Amino acid sequence: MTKKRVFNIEVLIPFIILAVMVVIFAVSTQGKLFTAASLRTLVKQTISLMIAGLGMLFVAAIGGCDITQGSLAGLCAAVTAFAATYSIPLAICLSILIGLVSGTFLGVVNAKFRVPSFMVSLAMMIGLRAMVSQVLGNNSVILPIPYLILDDFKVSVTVLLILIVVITYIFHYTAFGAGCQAIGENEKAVKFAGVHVDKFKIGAYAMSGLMTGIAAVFILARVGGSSNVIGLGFEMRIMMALYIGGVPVAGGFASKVYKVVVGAFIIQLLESGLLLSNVAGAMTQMIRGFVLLFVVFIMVRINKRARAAAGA
Amino acid sequence: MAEELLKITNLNKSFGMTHANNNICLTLEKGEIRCLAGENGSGKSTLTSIISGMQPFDDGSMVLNGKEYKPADPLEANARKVAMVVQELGVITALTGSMNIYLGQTDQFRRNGMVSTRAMGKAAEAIFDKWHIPKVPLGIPCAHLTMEQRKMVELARALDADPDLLILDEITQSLSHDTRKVIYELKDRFKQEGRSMIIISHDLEETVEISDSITILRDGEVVETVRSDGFTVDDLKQKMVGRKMEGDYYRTDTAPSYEESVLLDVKDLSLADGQLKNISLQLHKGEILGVCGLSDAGIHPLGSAIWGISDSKRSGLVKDGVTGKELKHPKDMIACGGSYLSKNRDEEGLMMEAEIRNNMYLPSMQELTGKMKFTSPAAVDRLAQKAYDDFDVKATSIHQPIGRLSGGNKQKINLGRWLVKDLNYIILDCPTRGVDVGVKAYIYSVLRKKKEEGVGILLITDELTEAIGMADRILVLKNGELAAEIERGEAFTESNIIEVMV
Amino acid sequence: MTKQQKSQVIFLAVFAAVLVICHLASKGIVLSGSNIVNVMLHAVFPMFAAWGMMFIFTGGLMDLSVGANLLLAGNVGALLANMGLGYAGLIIGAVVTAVLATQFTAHCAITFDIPAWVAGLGGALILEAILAQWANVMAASSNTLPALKNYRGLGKTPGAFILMAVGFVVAFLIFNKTSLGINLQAVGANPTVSKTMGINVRKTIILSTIIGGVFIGISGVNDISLAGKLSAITGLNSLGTISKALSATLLANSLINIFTKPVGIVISSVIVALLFNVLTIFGVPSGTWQNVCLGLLIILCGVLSHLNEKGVVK
Repeated sequence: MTKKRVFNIEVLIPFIILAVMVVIFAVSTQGKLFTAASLRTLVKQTISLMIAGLGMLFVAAIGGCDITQGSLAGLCAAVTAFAATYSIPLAICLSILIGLVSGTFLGVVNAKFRVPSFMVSLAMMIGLRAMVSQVLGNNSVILPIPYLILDDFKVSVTVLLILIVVITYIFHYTAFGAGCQAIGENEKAVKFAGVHVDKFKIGAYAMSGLMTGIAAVFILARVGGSSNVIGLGFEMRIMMALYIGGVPVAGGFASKVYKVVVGAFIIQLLESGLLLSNVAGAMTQMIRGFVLLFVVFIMVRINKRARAAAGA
Repeated sequence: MAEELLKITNLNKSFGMTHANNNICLTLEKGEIRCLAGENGSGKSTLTSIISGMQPFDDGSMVLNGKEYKPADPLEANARKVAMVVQELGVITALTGSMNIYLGQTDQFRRNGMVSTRAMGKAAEAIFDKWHIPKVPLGIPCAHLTMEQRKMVELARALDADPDLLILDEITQSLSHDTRKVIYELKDRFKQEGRSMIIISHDLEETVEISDSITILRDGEVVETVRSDGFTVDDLKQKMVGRKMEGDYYRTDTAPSYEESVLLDVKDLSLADGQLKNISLQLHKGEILGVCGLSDAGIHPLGSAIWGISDSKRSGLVKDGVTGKELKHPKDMIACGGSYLSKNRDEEGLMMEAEIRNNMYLPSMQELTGKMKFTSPAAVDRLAQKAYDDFDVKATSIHQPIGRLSGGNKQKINLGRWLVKDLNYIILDCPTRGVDVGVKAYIYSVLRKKKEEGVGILLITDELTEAIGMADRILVLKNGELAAEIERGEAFTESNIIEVMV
Repeated sequence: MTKQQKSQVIFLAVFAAVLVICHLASKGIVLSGSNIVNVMLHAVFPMFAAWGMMFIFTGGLMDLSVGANLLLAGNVGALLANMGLGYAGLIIGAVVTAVLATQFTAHCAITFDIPAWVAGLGGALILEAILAQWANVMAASSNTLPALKNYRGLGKTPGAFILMAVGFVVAFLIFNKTSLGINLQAVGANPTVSKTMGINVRKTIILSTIIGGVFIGISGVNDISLAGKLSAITGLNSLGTISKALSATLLANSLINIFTKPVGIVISSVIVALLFNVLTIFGVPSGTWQNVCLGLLIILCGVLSHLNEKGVVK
């Protein structure tokens, strides 16, 4: 029975970290962070990170790598900004479509042509970012007012909750989700069990692209207009959210939806909390770096002990 | 009486519950060429890897040249003039031949801080000259060398230790006829100079031919050590497989028994790389169809090619006998109630770090998918629990990671997760490899039960006794071609099968 | 002639043919003396950064903090140079900074078991922050980050080319002709074989990352010499600084069966610099379609070099 207890600790780590952080910031911001208004902002700022993170979860589960999200979100936002002046629903569909196409492309090159995903996604990151400049040129696009409804707290949170439910369903309650996690454990074993591994891998990258497309819609609404710096560094924040939440770098069955959700909150709490604690911008980033290293260090240690206790 | 080089007394080595080496005693004289013979899993490779310092032993003792010998690593073994060419270790393809030969010892060629490629190349060449091994280009990355050339590089690496004892594990099977001769000449030279060799070879004729003496192992124990003069291949086989049939280990009936209806129909199956050539076979209802052959005969690629996974392009036709559907992808076969078990359980079968439950779930992903693609975790648990109970897996629960479970338990999971389904036929590639006798007997009883239920079983095996003990018919493959088909009955003897195999 | 030499000749012949075609199509601009100098000048920075990455990545440490690392190193070097220490201060300051930074991430990965990928992310965050914090402090005292005014010889002819030649000789010799380099390649390719052959895996990786750090430091020197001033970047955007170097590294990896890595990096860096140069000459807008072409080139090389890949690819 000792085994079960160790496992519970592993499950609890992200929540413990979140709780510790809440306590620290409650003190350091003298409660400012936890007023209704700041909490609202906090949640709103987390939305796009969480949405894209939920997509990236599939890629992380198969043990792959996708660093296109920043550039892709930038491109989706740029195109959407232009299209929104014609039709808002069309613009949203376009953003999702671009994400889907980009993710599928990455998946096909990786799975069918067997090029390492880091190589493909780096190339795409460079190419997509360049296309953002191409699309925007020197124009700046003002979004139509109705579009900004997407930045409304109730609307965006509702969409987020729906997406979390849907992704939880796909990731934890379908063969596709389980297959992705199994691929991260041992790709060959999955292949020999008669699963179309390539289709699953392409599907995982497509999910990442699709969710990035959706995230871009909300990023654009927050920013309020087109800009060619939208999404800079986004992929790295997503990765941090996943790792700090406890999604293993190598993928597998320890990947969980709740870890992404909690991880994204931790990242955003860190950023906002430090800001409200009057820590200078550069210092917040340094603290974030050390927290990331420390948390992952603790997690690696505890997982090792848990596995040794379980006789693995 | 010649001098003693190596004396091993009561050596033991276990991996979990498997006793890989059990009270091994062995004496090797100077100038003696010793072959080790035994089936897969008899403990040959474990023994040689202990002698060469690649893994420690549990207890017992070794004495080399009169002094205690307990190598901590291969370097220490080299220092005591023991070297080995390992079957699967291989070379680093990015590095040149001479770098591979002196890997880890390049400092001896340092001139002004740099490793002198020329000096190293010369020294490497000198090894080839000294031992008369066929020259290979040593200055280019090994990626550009053929398999045979790479083996020569590995041989040179071992010979650099100027060994008194050289161990060759399955070196000849990847070599051409001409290069084999070189190895034989090397062996003669070792003899002359009073050095010794331990050789493992699957080629039984070669084993008898080249050795002075043969040590036969079975289930981790030494059966006997015999002089090779006057010893025949048939004698050797007798000793290797002469296991007593205990209880209802194998079938006792002497006639084939299966129904007329065909479950799986394979026509003219070939692989583009030539590993298989125009193989046709039919698997009947309730039949166990054995497939035997030497290690390069193509028996293992046959299994995976029928299943629909192969490195090179497959041609020919694989059809489901009942529905008549063509089977191209494993998924097609699963839909028709087929399944396959790879020989490489840990790499191509199980997810070692995942829970037993998730491993059990893998083959049944489609079946457990309901409306709206929904898979109920409770249903997965039930399935896993059923397979876990049916196959008597010994672990704490279905939530334990597979990790360090014994080979037998892993194989029970591997097989059980397929057999828990409603199958029509199953392709098994060496299902009893690396499991202990108890689990082996258990697996045989399960297979017999499935046969009675009408399941067709394609049993690919390295062990002749297994095929003879279980099969209704045996197909013998040679060089990728179908060499013979033998029915259960009087012709069902090892000598008959081996005659075709070799 | 060996198989490898044949592939080298074929590759170089194709490369030369493409160049000549571009030369003719551009009416004699591409291969003109001044243009070649220009291209090579732009190849120096990615080349050094890629050599540095070669020593860090080959052993298995995927450390993406090198971008932030070289920016910080360049600035520290400039600070010391301006303090009157001249070229010695420039180089020593940058190299020491870069080596310390690589050791930080290397130990996070090796000593503390943090996955190298995460260690690189954390390292990048911290290094960027140090630089930004420094910039903030300087701004508060009405100063800015040090600009390199006087000691910029290593960013132009002939200094940059001397640097490149020396760098190539050193990288080539260490990687191919020392025990450390040979062991490093072995460790990266197959840790099991390496351990069996008595190589100290940990020591090999740590020493290689130190050498990698030296090259990263020099790339920082070259960068600030070329630009005069390096600004602070936050939000993990330092990855953009090394995108060309990363591209060159990946291209060199796909040439691994034709050229040894240090040579492959020279060729790939020149190819990347040439790509941008030729596209500019043909009027392809920079910053947009040129980068798209680079992306396509990387994917194309990836596809070509993995045509016969059979194993599991992540």
